[in-house]
Amino acid sequence: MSITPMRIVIVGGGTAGWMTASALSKFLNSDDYMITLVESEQIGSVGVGEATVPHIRYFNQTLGIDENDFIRRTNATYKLGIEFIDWKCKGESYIHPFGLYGREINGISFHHYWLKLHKLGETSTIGDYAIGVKAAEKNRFQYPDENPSSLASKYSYAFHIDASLYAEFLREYSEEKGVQRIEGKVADVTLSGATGAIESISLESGEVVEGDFFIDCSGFRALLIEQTLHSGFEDWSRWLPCDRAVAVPSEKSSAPLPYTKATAKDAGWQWRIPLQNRTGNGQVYCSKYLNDEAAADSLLNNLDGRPLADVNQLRFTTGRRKKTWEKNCVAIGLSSGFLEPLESTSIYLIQIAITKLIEYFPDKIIDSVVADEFNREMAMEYDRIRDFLILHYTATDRTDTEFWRYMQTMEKPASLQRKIDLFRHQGHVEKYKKGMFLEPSWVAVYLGQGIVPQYYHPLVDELSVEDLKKELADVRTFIEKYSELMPAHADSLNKYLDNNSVTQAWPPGAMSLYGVFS
Amino acid sequence: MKDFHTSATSIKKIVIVGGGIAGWSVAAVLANAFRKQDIKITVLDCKTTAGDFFPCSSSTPATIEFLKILGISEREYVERTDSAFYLAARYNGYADKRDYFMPLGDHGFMMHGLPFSGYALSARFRSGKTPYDAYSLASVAARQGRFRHPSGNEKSLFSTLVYGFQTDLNKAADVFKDYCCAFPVNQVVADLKAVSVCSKTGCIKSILVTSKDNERENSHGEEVIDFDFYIDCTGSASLVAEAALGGEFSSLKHRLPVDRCCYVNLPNTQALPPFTEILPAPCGLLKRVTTRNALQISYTYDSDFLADEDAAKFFEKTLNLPRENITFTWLSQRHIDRFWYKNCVAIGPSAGRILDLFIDPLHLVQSAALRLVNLFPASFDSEVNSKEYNRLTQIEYEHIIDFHQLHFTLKNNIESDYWAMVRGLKNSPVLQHKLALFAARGVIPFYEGETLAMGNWTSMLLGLGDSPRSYDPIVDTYSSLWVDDQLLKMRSMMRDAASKLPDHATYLRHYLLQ
Repeated sequence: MSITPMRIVIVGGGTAGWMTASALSKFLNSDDYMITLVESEQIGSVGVGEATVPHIRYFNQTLGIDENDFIRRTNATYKLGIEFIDWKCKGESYIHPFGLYGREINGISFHHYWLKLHKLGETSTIGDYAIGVKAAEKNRFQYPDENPSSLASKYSYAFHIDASLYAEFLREYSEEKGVQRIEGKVADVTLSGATGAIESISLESGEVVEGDFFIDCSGFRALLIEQTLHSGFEDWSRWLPCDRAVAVPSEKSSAPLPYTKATAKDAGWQWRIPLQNRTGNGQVYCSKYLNDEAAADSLLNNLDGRPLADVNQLRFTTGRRKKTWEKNCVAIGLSSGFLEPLESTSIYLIQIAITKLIEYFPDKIIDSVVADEFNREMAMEYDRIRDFLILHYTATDRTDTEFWRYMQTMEKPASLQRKIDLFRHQGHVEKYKKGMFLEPSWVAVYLGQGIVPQYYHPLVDELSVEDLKKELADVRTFIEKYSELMPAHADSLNKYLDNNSVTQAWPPGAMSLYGVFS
Repeated sequence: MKDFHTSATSIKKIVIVGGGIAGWSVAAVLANAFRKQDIKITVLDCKTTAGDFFPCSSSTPATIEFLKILGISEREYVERTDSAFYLAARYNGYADKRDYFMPLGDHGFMMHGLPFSGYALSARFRSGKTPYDAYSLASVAARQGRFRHPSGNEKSLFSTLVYGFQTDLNKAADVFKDYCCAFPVNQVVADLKAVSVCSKTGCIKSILVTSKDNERENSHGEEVIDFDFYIDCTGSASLVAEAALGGEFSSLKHRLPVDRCCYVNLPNTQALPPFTEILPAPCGLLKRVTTRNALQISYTYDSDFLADEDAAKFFEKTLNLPRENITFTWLSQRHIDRFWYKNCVAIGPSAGRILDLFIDPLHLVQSAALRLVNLFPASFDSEVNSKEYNRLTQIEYEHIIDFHQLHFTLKNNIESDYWAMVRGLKNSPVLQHKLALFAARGVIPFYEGETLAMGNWTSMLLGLGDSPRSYDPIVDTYSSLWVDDQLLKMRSMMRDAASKLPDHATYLRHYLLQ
């Protein structure tokens, strides 16, 4: 290693900035790397990712964070999935759980068997075969079973958190590990004449912060990656036209639910995220079909508790940076792109960018092919999530507003059309290994929103109808009984929140949406 | 009474055109998958193209999974196919003067969550000389001629002994054929005369065969049989997919510059190495495979640069092999544009051929058969299934071609016109990116659907290629003393563990007595 430490400068705090700072301070030793984070108290944080996905548990685990301490500090509640209300049509809903449906038989995924039963006229829904769904419906929570062969181990969980408290928590963590925080607003950025790389940033105070490597966590402003380095933006608003959001916290109305609610509205959708002390609410909408005032009204009329603050307005364009790593700068968080929080992907995208940044961490001299690879992998992550989100809007029978009529008829990306065709025909889910949403998630949304395949896999017929019925009834009964015996969500929460009770070890984290014990 | 279930699929009659290793492998997979439905599987045991497969082949670990799916006992398979095991491919004659044992599995262990190769590279930058295969138990064991089955305990060092088989393919075909006999698979020994294609739909309606069975013969000795679904396993003649359905092939010679091969297949009277060998030769590549009964040496070369007579001389003079036993065959490397078209899937050489190197042709057959089951159509209008099948197969081919191209483009010690020409070969964009990232950093990017693991690529390039310019700098946040000490321990652990393994031949003898 060189004698002078490599200087890493993170521009912007918030969830992205402090997650990055804490991970880097954990993995890079302070003799060789000097990490500085510049943020301004005058600039608010968007506070994305109040609803998380199970991968966050893996992130916390690698940092050595006590999960129960984390829950206490961030006012967190448990999350087993997301309920999608009114997406297929008004009056219908389904839960996309963090978990699997039933179990594979003869190498063929469970949903094919369910499909046959469905075609025979059975009325059970696919959700009846997922513990996450049943537990959520019953408002219960318990850690997944440790026995990997048990059906009760085939789900995972995440949290609803106060993202600004999480950022504070990680700030403490980072500063303890030697990250230096500088208060101030960036006034100017200096580039190297020779390479075009960033040399330093100047703050409004006049202070100059030099660095070898810069991480842009400046949010929508994309101060370094776009305003300075002009990486370019791939605009996806023709597929995901929602471009605004209004958000407001409200009083807690009841015991917190162990899942997020996402309700489709006339020109977008509304989220409901239960924390220990309050409920987070917001509406994402398309300004072409709904004005800001109407959106705010609609949000306020659909709260189940008194609002606790003024309505906060956000504007955005969906899409991603063409390159999230350019020269000596990587964009992490909203500076790298924006996808609406329909499937709680923001913190995941931060986490995956951090993971890949560490995997491809540069030397002082940066090989552009390393950046190319980082960009290729991030683009793949973004593109796959994009297709999955578009599916929610386009797999619908809704024609009640202009917004939904547009969604139903618009031309989809070819990569999504191919996936839908494949599923619609014979229930086949396009397989890939890397990416946030794999087969169970696609199945959840396809079936939940009315894409029922014409055929099931021919191998399903290897099982006689009697055996098929028995097999599925066994799974259903097990899940029903098991979820019935789980403690109430609030009781589980109180148990782990209680400092004095013997802390039960939480299950290990995994980079998977579907299980904790692989 | 038949125990058949009603089934929803409209495909009731499937024919596999062509016996042989490809046809019987596919038939076995389908017979096993459709055990209980009223789906009739027929194998038209007609002549397949001669010389598509060498008599012996080294098959990848995927074969073990393949046998498991079929429920064929590995011991029985090894016994009946004269198989020997193999742990690594020995490369000799590339840039490094020393030979290199490339394991089928990976090298070393992760430390602090970082891949092992980064540590090995950092040590190479410091002091330089430890070959990468010293960090693979399989390689060390292969070098010493030792073998045992891997341990099922993931924490044991012995669990890293990933292996494949060196197999007599004709005998393997018999195993799969006999397997089919336990099922109601209908075998028709006949020759394919004609294929009738529906002019409206473009689908195959029926085939015309000349029966060899005199009792069943009609007055013309011919019979028209119609099926719902056709699997072309006729070999590189591609009688159904190309000849009847008009599938088009694109040549791969610009990527893999050889088109002809010769081989000898001798009784194995020598040792039983648990490895195959791959060596650059004046106008192509040599591969050596050893089963329990046979020793096979093949020379795959470019006919523009080498005449058969000169190849024969090379065998005689340089390799000391008797020239009267040499068999010559053409190897036109190519693949069809649509592996699955309408109601016909081409599997094996009828779909494509890539020279037998680290990945053998049987691998492509078996992986295609399993992919077909996975996407098996429930109806005649199966275009989306075929599109997906073709997409995945295309990806499979592209990455294997890339990997095999390395066998040509990595530096070797031979100076000749042929190798001068080879050095000008173009890489695919994906291969270019892979090599550029490796050169910069010593790592391999991940691609979906690729057959080779990233560890295989790293092994190949670290073992036989140039050193990368740099490596993961986070490795250097651990003290070099500590890293060197860990690596030293790892090497001696591999050595000790290898010395405890039984000799391959002895192990095999005991295994077969079980």
